[in-house]
Amino acid sequence: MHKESTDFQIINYYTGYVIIGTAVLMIFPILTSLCYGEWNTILDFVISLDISFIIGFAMIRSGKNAIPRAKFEWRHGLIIASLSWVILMIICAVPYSLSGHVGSFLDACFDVMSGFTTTGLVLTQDLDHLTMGLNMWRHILTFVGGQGMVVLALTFLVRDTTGAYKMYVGEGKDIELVPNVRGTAKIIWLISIIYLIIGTFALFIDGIAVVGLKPASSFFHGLFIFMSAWSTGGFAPNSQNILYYHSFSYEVITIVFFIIGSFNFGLHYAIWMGNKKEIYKNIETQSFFITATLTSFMVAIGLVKLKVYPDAVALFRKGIYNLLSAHTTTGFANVYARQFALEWGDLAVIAMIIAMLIGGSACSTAGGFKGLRVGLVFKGIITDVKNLLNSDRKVKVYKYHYMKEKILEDSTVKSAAFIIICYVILFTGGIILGTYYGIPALSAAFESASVTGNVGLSIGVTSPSMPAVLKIYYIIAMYLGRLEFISVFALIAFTAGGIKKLCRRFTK
Amino acid sequence: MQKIYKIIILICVIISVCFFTTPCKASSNSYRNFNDMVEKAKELNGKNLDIEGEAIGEPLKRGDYTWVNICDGNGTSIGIYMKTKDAEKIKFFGSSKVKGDTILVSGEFRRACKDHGGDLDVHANKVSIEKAGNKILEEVNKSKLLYAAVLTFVAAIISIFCFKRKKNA
Repeated sequence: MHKESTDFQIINYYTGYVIIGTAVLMIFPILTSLCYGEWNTILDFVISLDISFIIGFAMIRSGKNAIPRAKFEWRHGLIIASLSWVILMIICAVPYSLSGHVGSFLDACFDVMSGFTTTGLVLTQDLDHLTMGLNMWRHILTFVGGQGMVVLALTFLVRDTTGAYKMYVGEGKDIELVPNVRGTAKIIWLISIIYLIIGTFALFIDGIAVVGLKPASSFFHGLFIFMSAWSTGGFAPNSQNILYYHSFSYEVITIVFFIIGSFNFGLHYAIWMGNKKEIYKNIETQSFFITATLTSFMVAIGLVKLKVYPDAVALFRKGIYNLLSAHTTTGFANVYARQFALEWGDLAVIAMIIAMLIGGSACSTAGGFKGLRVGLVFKGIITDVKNLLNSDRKVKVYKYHYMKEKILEDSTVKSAAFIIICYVILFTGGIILGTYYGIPALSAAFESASVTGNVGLSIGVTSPSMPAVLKIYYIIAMYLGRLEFISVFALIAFTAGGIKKLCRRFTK
Repeated sequence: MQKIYKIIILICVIISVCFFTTPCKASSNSYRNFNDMVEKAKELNGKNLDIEGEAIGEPLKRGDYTWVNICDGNGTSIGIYMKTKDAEKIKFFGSSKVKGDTILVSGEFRRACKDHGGDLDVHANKVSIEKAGNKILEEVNKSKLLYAAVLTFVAAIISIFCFKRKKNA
């Protein structure tokens, strides 16, 4: 019993810090709303901030006494990561709910989870009349979600590094840029902030010079679109998404940043440290290049066959842009959702589904199976075939390059395949549920791939009027996909174990 | 004979009443719900349509022409490519604090515009202001103000309590 209460105290303590760390970000929408005189929005965020502090400080206080003698274990790290996301989803939904732009609290939670997981599907209504403060919040959620709330807390709040690595891994990251995990977290933020400045500036200049935006709105649009592009989130401040700008140059800039954003943070760090060859040698960039080329060809063939677009420029701007947005799991779109279903044809839609499922790089802001796992499984299959063809007396060691040369072991391939299988099960569940509600199979598959891979493109299924059960499934799928299953399984097992013990005590 | 004439006149009156009291079906080329246009995009491609919506965001000037995005009030917006002098007629653009001008646009609907990289858009021939927009005066919600005050007080007490215990520890 003492051990169980210590577990709860450790989890409460660190979860409290993650909640406070994320809630403090509400200062940004408050300041934005102050500039624009959005008084009710300011009150919405003050209420939400207060609720966050009350819950966060109460949790920290409840766990503080256990920390000096606590032994931080893997299960604590996994549960802190997964539990903090659930509590934050509820707290961060409060400003949405108070704004009047969502149909229900469930819709608000959906949008928050969509932001945290950098999915980008939207149930918020009347986006074109949203306050600047709430728009700032939506985009900050996706920017921070891409980096990770645990990473945020580790960088700025958590001084005690015992167990820090276990929390970091619990949030779906395992790359160590430097030996110290707080150092790694700080480097991730440094990389993101530097690109934030460069990207916002590029979009700001293009917004004024080419798009025709006024300076103040060009700055905010640039900031929001960069945060979405870098985090491969896909949110935009207007309902038309990227189509609002009617600009090829704006689209090209977003392509650059969402592709870069989908790369591994380790790759960014390696290039910054002068190791430029990593971009060619890395198994993930090789895998991304191959799969992006193949799926682009599929989309192009599908669209050309049906004569959907009048020329090569339109084919690139619509077909290839949306394909790359899907593959990097960004979710920016410059076509209407229903156009995928009504105009693109089955071949192009299937190519999009495959691209969304494969996704971006591990330890990046992207979702999906991840290029690393796809590369490992394919290499595993090739080595197995080679071993069958080789003489039994010949022992060959196969390698792959991921930041450094590594030996391709069966356990590595098995782990990669296990996670891919989990994604496939989640994807299939989404198709079954979608078809149960009368959605055509290909559309259900498209939406399910978008949710599972944390992409955010929609074929028209996601809407405020969709069944509540489907909304809940999509929330769970986005959450599982982003945290890559293990930490969520740990949370479920821990919760189930706790409930079982409570029931036993009650019946005694 | 008179009876026959009376019957004929009565029939004519009944037919006339039926004709004039039957509600007019809106012109099949006028749209207020942009989702319908997207659903029927192939069918409507190249046709002249009348569409009505609220101007949102801001005008995106591109020399002699300007993009104005308009919203149908049901969450769908569409880009209108119009002459800059037409865009200058629009005084209010919708946002959280402004109700934009409701404009009526008559123009060619393009499912995948060759001039604009495949965008679904409307090239305006004629633009008129149907209803002027206005600034929205925001009233501070008193219940929210009360909740904010109470919760801030409670949060302050709890944080002071936490920090005080931390100092004493």
